[in-house]
Amino acid sequence: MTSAEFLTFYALACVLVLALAGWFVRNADDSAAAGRESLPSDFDPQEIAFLRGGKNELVRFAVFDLTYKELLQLGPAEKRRDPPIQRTEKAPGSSLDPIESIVYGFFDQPQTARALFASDTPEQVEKAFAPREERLKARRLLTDDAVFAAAKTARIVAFLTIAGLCAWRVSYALSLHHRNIGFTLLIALFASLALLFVTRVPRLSKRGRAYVQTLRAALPAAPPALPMGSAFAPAASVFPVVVAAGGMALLAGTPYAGLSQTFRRAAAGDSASGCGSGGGGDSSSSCSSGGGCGGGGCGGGS
Amino acid sequence: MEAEGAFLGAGISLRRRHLADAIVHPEAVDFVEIVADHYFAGDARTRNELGAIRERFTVVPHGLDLSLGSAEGISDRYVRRLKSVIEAVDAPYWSEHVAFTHAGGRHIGHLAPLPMTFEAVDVLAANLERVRKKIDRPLILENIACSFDIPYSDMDEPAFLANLVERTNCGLLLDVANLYYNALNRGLDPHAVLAAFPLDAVVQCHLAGGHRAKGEWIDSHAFPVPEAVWQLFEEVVRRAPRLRAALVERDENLPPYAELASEAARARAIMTSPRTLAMGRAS
Repeated sequence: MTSAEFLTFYALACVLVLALAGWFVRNADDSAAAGRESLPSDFDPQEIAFLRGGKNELVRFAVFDLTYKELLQLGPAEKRRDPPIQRTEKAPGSSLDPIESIVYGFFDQPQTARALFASDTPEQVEKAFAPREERLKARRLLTDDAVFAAAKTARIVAFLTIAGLCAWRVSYALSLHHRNIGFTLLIALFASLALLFVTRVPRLSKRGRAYVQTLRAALPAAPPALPMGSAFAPAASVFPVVVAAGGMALLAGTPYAGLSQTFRRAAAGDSASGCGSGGGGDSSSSCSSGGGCGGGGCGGGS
Repeated sequence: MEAEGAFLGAGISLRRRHLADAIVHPEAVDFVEIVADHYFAGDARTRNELGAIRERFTVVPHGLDLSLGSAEGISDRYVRRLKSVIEAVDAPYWSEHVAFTHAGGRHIGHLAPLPMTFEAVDVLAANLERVRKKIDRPLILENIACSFDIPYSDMDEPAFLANLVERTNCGLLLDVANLYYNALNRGLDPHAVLAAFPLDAVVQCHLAGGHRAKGEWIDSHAFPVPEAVWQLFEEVVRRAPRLRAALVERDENLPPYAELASEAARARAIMTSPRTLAMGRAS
């Protein structure tokens, strides 16, 4: 086999391995067989926000909801600085649930959204939400651990195949004192990176993704730029559910537009520092899955 | 006559701007009507939206552009798309207008009135037969708004509709507001027009409010149902034995969902009022 023939063979073999690995991971999720998740009789906006974007979206939603309940407000913006989020004069009483209590507790002093996500508040919120997360798993809306395990197996087997062929070729070439191994290594590198991509596991299961899509279709926002209280806006009791399903971008054009902007700035600041850090721009457990700003999320007007 | 199913109660014509409210508070209405044409895209979002509406409500699709009165026939493509929506929501029946929207290969963009002639009944019956071969759910036909008498007609609208019902075995969707404003625009007594209407065939009612512009009443669906229309509706309830549904339509000046739901509640109260029903039995 000439070098050119081997490179062609190797590239095709890598494509085949990647396709098989991707197929294996996708088929490991059999949650769709459980059927379509029904719409609830009582919508839980926190659950919807968590499904859409994990702990960070849940934190964002909690801030919005506390603002909507007039317990938090956006402070005055200073030049080139994010406006702080601060408590209002209104006392919360005993009406706060555990998630809201954690987020409200963080704002005992005025703080920016960036500071909120840099703190351990998202982790505390995630911990408080854990029992409900388990229930979401039981409803097969979140990806099973078995799927993550299957993806890991697929990744290992596929990588060993790609690397094994590469190692064989390189050792063979070196044994003949050839130095033309650059393209082989390049293909192996690209294939390994592509492997990470094709075997990534979304945070939501197939069933969960279908459910979120249904929620987003069933709970559309009022047309953008129409403030609450206008005739087209949803009823006051429905608005938080709509925001939970559609994301903070829906706040553009409402009295809460400032929140959308401050979250977007926090997410943009975070994106420079990479996935997984604290600006709230990503989802809680996977950089690749239904991110916190996803679906029209943190950006401006939808 | 075709069976349109069980008593549905009172509903609203669902527009996207009220969708979230309706999904979260489905208890406020008994059923919804959707404009079928708004769901022809068939994309994932549309399918999800239809699925969610179907999950919450009994849904009656309402067609706008079938053009049953077109002498040149109807579009098979349109019928296929209509069928897909009707099946997606598992509709007990569906509705269209006694009108034409296409002529000479052109789209008029408006529900145009038909001449009240026997030829027009023939055209409607032929087109209906074609539709029924493809869509097996019962169809009910709606009287449209028309502010003048169509020249060269053989009969008036009630007689025309009675002929149509006899010929096609279809139920009727009585738009009470259309009947009311048509009568006012022609200088007729709405109650007299209603008395001549083939109420035995009425399965569903539309209720809406219009406005007066340039000396003419327009069924604009832009205002609450006026008292005069409510009174006519009470009469319909008393005299239409097959009536199983009524809904409030609003297309402009959209009010909050709760306001529409309260109008639907009034329609429900009229439909289920022992007094109204007792008067109906006595008459």
